[in-house]
Amino acid sequence: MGNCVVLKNVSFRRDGRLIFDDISLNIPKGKVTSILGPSGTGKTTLLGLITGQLKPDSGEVLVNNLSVPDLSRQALFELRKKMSLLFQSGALFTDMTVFENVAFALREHTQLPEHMIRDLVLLRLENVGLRGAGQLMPSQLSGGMARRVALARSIILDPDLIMYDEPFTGQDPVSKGILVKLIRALNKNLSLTSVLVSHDVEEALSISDHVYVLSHGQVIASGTPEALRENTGSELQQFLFGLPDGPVSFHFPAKPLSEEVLA
Amino acid sequence: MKPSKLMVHHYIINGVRRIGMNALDICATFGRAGWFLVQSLNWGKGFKAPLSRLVYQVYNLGVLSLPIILVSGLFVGMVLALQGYHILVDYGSQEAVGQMVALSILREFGPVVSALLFAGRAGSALTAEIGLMKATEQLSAMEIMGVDPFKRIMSPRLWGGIICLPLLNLMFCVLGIYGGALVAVDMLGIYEGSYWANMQGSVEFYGDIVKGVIKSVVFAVVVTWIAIFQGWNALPTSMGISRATTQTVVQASLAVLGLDFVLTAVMLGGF
Amino acid sequence: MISKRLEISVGVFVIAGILALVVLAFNASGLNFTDKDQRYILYARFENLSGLSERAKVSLSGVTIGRVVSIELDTEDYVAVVKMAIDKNVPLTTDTSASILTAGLLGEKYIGLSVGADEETLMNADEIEDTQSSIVLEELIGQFLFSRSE
Repeated sequence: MGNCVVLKNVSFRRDGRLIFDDISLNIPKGKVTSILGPSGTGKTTLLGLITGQLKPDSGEVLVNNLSVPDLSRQALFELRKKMSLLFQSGALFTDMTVFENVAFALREHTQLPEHMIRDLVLLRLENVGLRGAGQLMPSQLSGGMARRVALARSIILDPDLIMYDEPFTGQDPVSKGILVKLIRALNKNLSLTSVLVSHDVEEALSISDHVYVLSHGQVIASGTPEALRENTGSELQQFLFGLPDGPVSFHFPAKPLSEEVLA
Repeated sequence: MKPSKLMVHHYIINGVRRIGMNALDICATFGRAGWFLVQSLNWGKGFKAPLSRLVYQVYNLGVLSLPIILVSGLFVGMVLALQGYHILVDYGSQEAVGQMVALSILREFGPVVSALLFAGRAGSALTAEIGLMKATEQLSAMEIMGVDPFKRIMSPRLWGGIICLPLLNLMFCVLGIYGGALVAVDMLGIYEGSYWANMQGSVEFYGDIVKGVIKSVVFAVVVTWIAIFQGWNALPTSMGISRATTQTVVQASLAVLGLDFVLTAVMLGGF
Repeated sequence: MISKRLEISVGVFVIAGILALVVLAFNASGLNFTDKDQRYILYARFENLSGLSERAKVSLSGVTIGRVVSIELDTEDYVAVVKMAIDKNVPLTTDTSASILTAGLLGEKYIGLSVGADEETLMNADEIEDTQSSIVLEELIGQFLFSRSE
């Protein structure tokens, strides 16, 4: 089994701020890999680098052995047909029905006859348990349903690689449970490579084969979920077990309170 | 405290630096806007993309703008006839009111007013629509799905605008001229034959009508371009979108009026 | 999916726009594509046009029967040559006279024709011999003042 995505010594700056400092990651084919880290560590930026929406300042980003930053616009769009990204917000097209949302990529990229499109879309909606919701508009869906529709939409072209950007944020426990089950099931049934970016530690650990933990632009830990739980790095422990204070300070850097308030 | 020589130096250098930075910013924005226009004009290879997208945009931008354009055209023509009559009657040339109404509408009011109304009615809607698509990550989602948002979203809107505004302008002109006739002939009692004959004697098909349409096409490109660029460039927040929408109307209106002067100067200069 | 009604409304919109162009072309600019078949050309020489322009009316007893097509200068005699297109249904006698007149005190200039008594009529590309230039207000005032001072 090779690697689907490889990042080699990648550095990335935004507005002069160093977001990634020489990081390297391997994402193996056919596995679920989680990338964990506190908010603001550039996890979404990482996905941007993989999809080619952002270009690294230095280092290599390889997807299916193609160097993403060097691809032409056309080749990049070709490559993107094989990957998909589930946005935090779902990013459903608000002026189309659920059915049309899921059918979108098929209509854009294939010349399939209408009845085949219909069958494929209904199958995918069935996969996420929303076959009955095809004629609803996105505004009529609950947050959890919208995310499942987005999931159905992102797997319609049978991608090799699917990336989830914070899939659990803002979901109630039931929806979270459904999503965990779905991600696992899809990975197995469609032999996908899944990349999960999250700060929901429990859910992420429960479905991952491999985990990377990012902080301050660097990989501070990696390994199987079990190995991570036993790792004793203090920053890692603070993050994994949700301690309010530790190496990562509760306070945003500021002048001492006494100086600012009492002066 | 007297500022030292060094501090004065510092202020001057900082001032120059700021001017330079602003100039660079402006150049960069124009460059990006130009690149954006070229990208958006590209309909895709061999015009294979379904025409239904364009049809929908013509509906959205053109058909839905019709009421405001037609009503405005009618009233502009009526007011022009009324004003023109009261000026011309002093010289005993009130018969020329048809010619005055037709020339001012075909040359100026038609293209300019329809473009301003279009910017307010359709341009602001375009900016808000694209800005919201961006804010809700719909544009990114499209890009990730391997669909070029320029071809899918921008291009039909830009071409829709380029098709719609000249047509709206023509309808505005017709309504304006007939509105003028309504006032001049039916209200002020000018002989109908001389209203039209005077008009036909002075209006030239190429020199007035075609040039008006050319103006309108230029305005269509500029207004739609500004509208979709502002949407695409908007900060993905509610504040950002509201600002972008305002910017669209302000910039498009200024651009139309400024360009109108330039185009008029060029056209009267013998082109 | 785009509904039928939307498509029809767009079709109507585009047709209405093109129709508007046609209406403007014929009603506002008096464009006439059959011009050449229904008209014939006459020439007339004037010493002074004083403001007569292309597309000016040519009228007979107050009825417009044609238009000025072009104006050129004859560099041998230094007179203006006016080319007119006249309605085919209006035959003009060879002794027709042409003069440049003004509509109202400050109105536009036009060419007024008056027909003579000849039997023969002017043919295409003929010239009207009897012409009278426009009255120039300044000259008239000058003459008046000159005659008073004597």
